[in-house]
Amino acid sequence: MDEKQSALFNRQIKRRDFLKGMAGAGAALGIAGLAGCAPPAPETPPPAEPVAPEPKPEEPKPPEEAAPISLDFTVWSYSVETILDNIQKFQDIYPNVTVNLTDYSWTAFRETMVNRFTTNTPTDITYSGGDWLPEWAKAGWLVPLEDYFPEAADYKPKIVGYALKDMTYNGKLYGLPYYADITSFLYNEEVMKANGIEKPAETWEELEDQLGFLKDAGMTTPMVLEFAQANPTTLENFTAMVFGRGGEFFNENFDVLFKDEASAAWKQLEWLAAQYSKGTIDLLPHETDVVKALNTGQHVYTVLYNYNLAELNNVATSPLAGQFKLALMPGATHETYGFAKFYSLTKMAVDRGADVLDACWKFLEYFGGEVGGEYPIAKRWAVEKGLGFGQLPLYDDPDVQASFAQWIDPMMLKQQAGLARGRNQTVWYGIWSEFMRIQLLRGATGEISVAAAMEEAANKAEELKATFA
Amino acid sequence: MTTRFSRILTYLGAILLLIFITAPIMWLIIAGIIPEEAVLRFPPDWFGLGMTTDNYNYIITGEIPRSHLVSGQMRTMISQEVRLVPQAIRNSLLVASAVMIINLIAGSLAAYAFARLKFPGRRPIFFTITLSRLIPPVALAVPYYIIVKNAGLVDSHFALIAIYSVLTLPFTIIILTLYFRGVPKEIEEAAEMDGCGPFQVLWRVTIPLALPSLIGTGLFAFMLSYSEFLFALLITTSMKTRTLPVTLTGVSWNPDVTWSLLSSSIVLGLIPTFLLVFPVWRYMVRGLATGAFR
Amino acid sequence: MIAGMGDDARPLHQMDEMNTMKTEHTPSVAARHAPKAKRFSIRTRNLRAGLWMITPTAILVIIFTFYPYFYAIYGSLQTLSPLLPTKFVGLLNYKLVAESSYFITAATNTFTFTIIVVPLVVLIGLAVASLLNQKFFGDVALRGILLLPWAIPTAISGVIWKGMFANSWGAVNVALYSLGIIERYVPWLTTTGLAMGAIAVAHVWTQFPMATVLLLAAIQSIPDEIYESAAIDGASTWQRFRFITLPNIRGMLVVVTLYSLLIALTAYDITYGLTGGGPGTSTTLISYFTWAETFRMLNYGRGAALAVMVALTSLVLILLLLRAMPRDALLEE
Repeated sequence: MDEKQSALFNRQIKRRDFLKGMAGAGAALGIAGLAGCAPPAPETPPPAEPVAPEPKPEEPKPPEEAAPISLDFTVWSYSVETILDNIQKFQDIYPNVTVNLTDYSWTAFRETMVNRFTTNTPTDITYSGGDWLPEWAKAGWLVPLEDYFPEAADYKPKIVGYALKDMTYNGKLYGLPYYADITSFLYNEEVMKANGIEKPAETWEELEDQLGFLKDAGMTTPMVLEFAQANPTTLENFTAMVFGRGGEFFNENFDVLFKDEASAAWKQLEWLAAQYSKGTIDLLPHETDVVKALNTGQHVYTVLYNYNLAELNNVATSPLAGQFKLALMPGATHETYGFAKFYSLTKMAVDRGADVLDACWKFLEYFGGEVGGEYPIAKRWAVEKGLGFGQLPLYDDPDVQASFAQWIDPMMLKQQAGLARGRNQTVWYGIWSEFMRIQLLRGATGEISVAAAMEEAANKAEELKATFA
Repeated sequence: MTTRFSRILTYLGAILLLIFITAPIMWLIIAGIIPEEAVLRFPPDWFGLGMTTDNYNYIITGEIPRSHLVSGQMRTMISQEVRLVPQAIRNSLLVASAVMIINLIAGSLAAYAFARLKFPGRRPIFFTITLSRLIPPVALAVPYYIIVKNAGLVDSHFALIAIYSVLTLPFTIIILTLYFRGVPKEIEEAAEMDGCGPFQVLWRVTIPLALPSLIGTGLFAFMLSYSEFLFALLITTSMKTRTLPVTLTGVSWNPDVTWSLLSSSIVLGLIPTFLLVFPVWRYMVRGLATGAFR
Repeated sequence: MIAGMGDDARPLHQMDEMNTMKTEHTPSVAARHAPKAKRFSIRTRNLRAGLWMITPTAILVIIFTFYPYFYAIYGSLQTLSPLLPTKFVGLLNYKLVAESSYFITAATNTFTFTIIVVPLVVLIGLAVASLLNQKFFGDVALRGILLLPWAIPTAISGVIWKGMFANSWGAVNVALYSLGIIERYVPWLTTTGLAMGAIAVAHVWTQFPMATVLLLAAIQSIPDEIYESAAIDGASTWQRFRFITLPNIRGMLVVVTLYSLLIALTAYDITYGLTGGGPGTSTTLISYFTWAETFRMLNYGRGAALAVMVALTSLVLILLLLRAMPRDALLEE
């Protein structure tokens, strides 16, 4: 431990002196192979390890040189066997690195991770999300990739805008994408047409008419939504609907934008409350409930994470596979919510020293970045599981195209993804979103008025903004 | 006339009871062996598409169900987490057995002390221990986590065993105190006259006499530990240590889980406790009836 | 904790030692001791043995009870959050909790839920215990089956009952539809009154077996002679139940009610799986609220204040019930 630390210390000094020298000599010259090292400012923590000009993951390090390193990696429980298999592949390339996987339930992920961080439970790399990043970064739990691996910045132009926004805090990149997706407006084309509707609605007003029409035709609840007080995804779904109207919750300064009746959020909650009281929508606790409900053919519409369309059209398990389609989010602008879930680096990993950091970067690049001209892991998620991706080059990958064509119209997807944008999020956003979700549920189901729900949510945001100022 | 009427009433009640208890379990068993399409069909038709044991086969051997093989590239869109169920069952069994043993040892010692021995502070200690369960578990979550973390025991079965012992011991002690007081005092006194100390009396006289109740109470602690969710969620974080309720709940939230696959994984997970139901009945209920409440 | 586990072995070990010693002595040797000296030695020995015997339990309980209680009470007086500096705020957390409308909703829901389920658990438990006290064809099998719901982890019971009540494909709707009782599926889990009913049914399903077991044990411990003489006196079934059974199981009824009450007040895993707290917030219970306030809003101080409030409420209820309980039920003869 001590030896490692002093080794790191020496290397850092060398590195820092070297950088100073570089700055004096004019780093912008872009000396061959070191171009990526230039950006860091002198105050930022120095990169720990002389950076290899090109990642060469295919070349295993000679065993005698590489001390065994073990990394702790935390994820939420989704397709753990695939993750383990990916880890195995990574370990085959880097035999000196062992990755310990820990997975938590998605619904309790944020609170469990906060527990882990506050108690300093060893964690090197973790899944993260844009709504938590400001909180975790401000608390010092996560660190910017650019500060330690300058070449991370090279990925910025290759990542889709909404994903990049989710992974950026204070202008710095904090992760590489695990997957990036949009929330989209989905419908059952066959059932819709069978009930006499030709085209999916383009505005919320039109949708209201259609829902009423379907209800009169005998459908119990023509629209189902994943909308529950215990489920964090509720707010993402509402965000997508608000974005369809061209709205937002906060501006760049985090002033509240939903204080008046004309705001998109206010109107959308009014819309939901009206539908709920008419009985045209059903609010289910979880996306799996929505997918199953839609597969009984008793409903037409939903707003859901886009990957659910792959499940809806999955021949293996869905009786109605093939009937489900994507339409543009209703509303004036047809925009929708786009986001990224990503691999991020912890402060604890940095504190463990240069060798660990080096292993972390190899891991990050293998999982979220480019290896030998490919994005092996992101591509695997896309092809096998229908998860969206943040890496722009994957749009042109023939395997991805072929796989997606099985369950989605690629042109529609491209059009909707092009209209997707990220959310403005800050350090107290995670806390506020918990509070907001409750108000949304109370407002939508008529427990309190829409005005009261919006007022409570606005007051909470202002209170939090003041507390964290 | 009245007897016949009451006979009919008895059977009617028994049938209603049987339906209420078993309906959800029957549905679980059925859903596990019919295809997902049949579960979701409307108008309903559960048995129109045949039956299959592919789900069980997948959980145990990892062989992808045939229905998933037809659809080409996306065939692996299946909830892989169900494959962790067998390991989770082993973990739960291990933790629950250890808790049971601790309950039997520490519980019978303490219960004997409370039932038979006079020592200072007996009443306050008894009530402190038995009322220590008052605070809601959610409130204990953070401090428990801190204790476990400081002991360096996060993600270990040991931590979970200790916590479950604390949670189950108060109940074990109440029940065993009642049992031990039901053991005829004369026998114990005779043993004392023979020069037995309290430990010997407990070991040679009380425990053999109260054995059925002990087994029943131990199994009770076993069941509670096998089922606990909240602390297991906090403490056992990796696949190697995770217990059954956490794994199964995780599966139920998986985006690509089907109801039929989930049902079969639940059925598998419940087999061990279902096997224990009859011994629990035999020892605990009988023990309660004959031992404590005369 | 490590110390607690280590100490477990000691009394056991001692016990073994004494055991071996004992087998070497002959009873007649021990019997020769003078009675008076013996009584004295028994008393001191009892004292030491008693303390030894409760040591393992006491150590575990002290570690895992006093520290958490202290933490909860102390924490409830602070601004305690991983994101903010810790600061003493007195009773502010209690005030903020009590004033928040969400707390009132959750408390009301929990109260409603408790009022519905506790009488149901006790009454169904009593009815089933009376039923199982009789002999009929298949009674042994039914007794075993009775315990099945109890053997299922509560969190899983929530999942299982989702399969029963699911709006679009649940077994209840399928059964009612197939029998022609309903023409359209009923949205059980997303209609305000029905959702509370659904979680109540699921909760009662998991909880009544234990109540039955305890009450049946109490009923079976009533000597048969009392019933026999009552039968000779011509007492009806109801009269026997009313004047013999009920008074004799009064103590156990109190225990069962108490237990059910505590479980109901702190219930949350069933709701979590079944309704997610909805529709709206109509099935949000206080335990879920505590979890959300503590971990999701990262407000450990306010969460601790809530926990203390729930614990105090439980304590008051328990003390009230203990007053109704026969004095001799637990410690005294």
